[in-house]
Amino acid sequence: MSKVDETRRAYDKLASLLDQEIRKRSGTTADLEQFRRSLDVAFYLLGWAQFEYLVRKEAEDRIETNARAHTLDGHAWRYLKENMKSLSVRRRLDLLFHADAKARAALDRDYDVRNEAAHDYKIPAEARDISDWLLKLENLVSKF
Amino acid sequence: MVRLLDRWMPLKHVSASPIHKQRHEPTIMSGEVTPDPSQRQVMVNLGNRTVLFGPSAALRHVSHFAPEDDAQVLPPVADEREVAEERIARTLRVSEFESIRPASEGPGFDIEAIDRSGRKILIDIKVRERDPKPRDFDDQYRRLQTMSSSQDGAVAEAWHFNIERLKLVIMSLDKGGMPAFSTLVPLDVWQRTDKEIFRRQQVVERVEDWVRRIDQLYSDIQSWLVSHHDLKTERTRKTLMSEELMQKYAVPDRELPILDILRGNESLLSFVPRALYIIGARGRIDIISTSGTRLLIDQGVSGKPDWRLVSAESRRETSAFDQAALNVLVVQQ
Repeated sequence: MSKVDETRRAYDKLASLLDQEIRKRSGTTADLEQFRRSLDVAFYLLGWAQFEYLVRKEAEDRIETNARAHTLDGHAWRYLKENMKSLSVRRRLDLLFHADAKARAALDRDYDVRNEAAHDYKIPAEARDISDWLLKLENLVSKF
Repeated sequence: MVRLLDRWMPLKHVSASPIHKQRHEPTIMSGEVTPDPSQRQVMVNLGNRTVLFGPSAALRHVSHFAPEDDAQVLPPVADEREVAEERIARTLRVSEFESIRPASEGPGFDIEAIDRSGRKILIDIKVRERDPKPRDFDDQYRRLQTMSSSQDGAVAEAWHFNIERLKLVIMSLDKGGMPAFSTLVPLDVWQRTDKEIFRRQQVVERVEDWVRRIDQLYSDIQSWLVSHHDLKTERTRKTLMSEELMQKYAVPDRELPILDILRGNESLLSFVPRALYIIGARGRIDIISTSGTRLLIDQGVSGKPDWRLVSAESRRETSAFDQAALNVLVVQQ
């Protein structure tokens, strides 16, 4: 289990507390619904941030391991290691998901819309159920 | 006399921000704007979407353009923001213009048009994801003044496209040289591909269908509870529906009713509509109970809803939501 799982549990609890406020009719519904939207966006972005960190670390780990090889490929890996900082997240995803084209393509699409969510409360349809979406991220992390 | 939606004073005549805010308040002025941009209809492609802008509802006339007039299928783009300005300049059509072409004079102007009276209009196109701010008008006001005084008979205008909230604000100068603003709103929005045209009306109908399905579900629930004499229902609370697709196609936000099932003054169950456009279903309503939140999704087809209760243990498992399922939820409270 990674930190993403803890994030999901925290989201479930906070979403449930807000839902209870809505049920008990404490405060205006519009405010409570807005809080819920803010909560969703916040945890959507937090989930991404944690996933991105784990992708970075895992890619670095694989590059380090391969760079130790005394083979022809080892030179390429060592070159990659020296230029690790310039390796974009998408390139790192290529490394981790080269055998899972479907997951890789889905992540590419997700990355395109992620920044939209950051500044304009736009969560893609695939991630409208934040809890389920965080679980999917956790499942991807477990495949590393 | 022309009714102007906004009047604005040049920045050099005003000071701090409180006054800035005031200068956008609607007023009726006696100055005349020539030609009157507020009566135009403007059709442009923003990248993927084509938008027909025109006068607000109260002033609306027959549409001069329809999707059928928009025969050109342009390649779809990943991000409209990157191509909107170029696409607007390339596809612009205006109801009262005889000809439109790239500007050959007037530095900073994008379009040169001739209206029906033979008047030349130089247009500076600005594309943003927000409404124009006072500072945007400052520079342009000076440029419009310069251009209007230097061009013989030509009229200079600045067109501000808000591609996020779909609005077109046209800044021009009235006969007295004072700035005048006309706001055009989206009358229609569509996206044309090789195979089909996806229209704003389809989003409107989908939203209407969602409202009807919710209403029917609530009515069913109320009829199922008739034998529970200790329970009552209320639909007085509302939640705001503002889906991304609605915003993209200029469909107004919609208030949806929340259904509360009450015992005395205590709410046992609240049905809160949460989303229409979701993957794998035709809408989602959250059922908030004292013991937690359950998801209710419609997995039916058009015209035949099939409400399914998502398992608390697994999001992949669902069961029929009917009177028996509702009774179980009520008894658990």
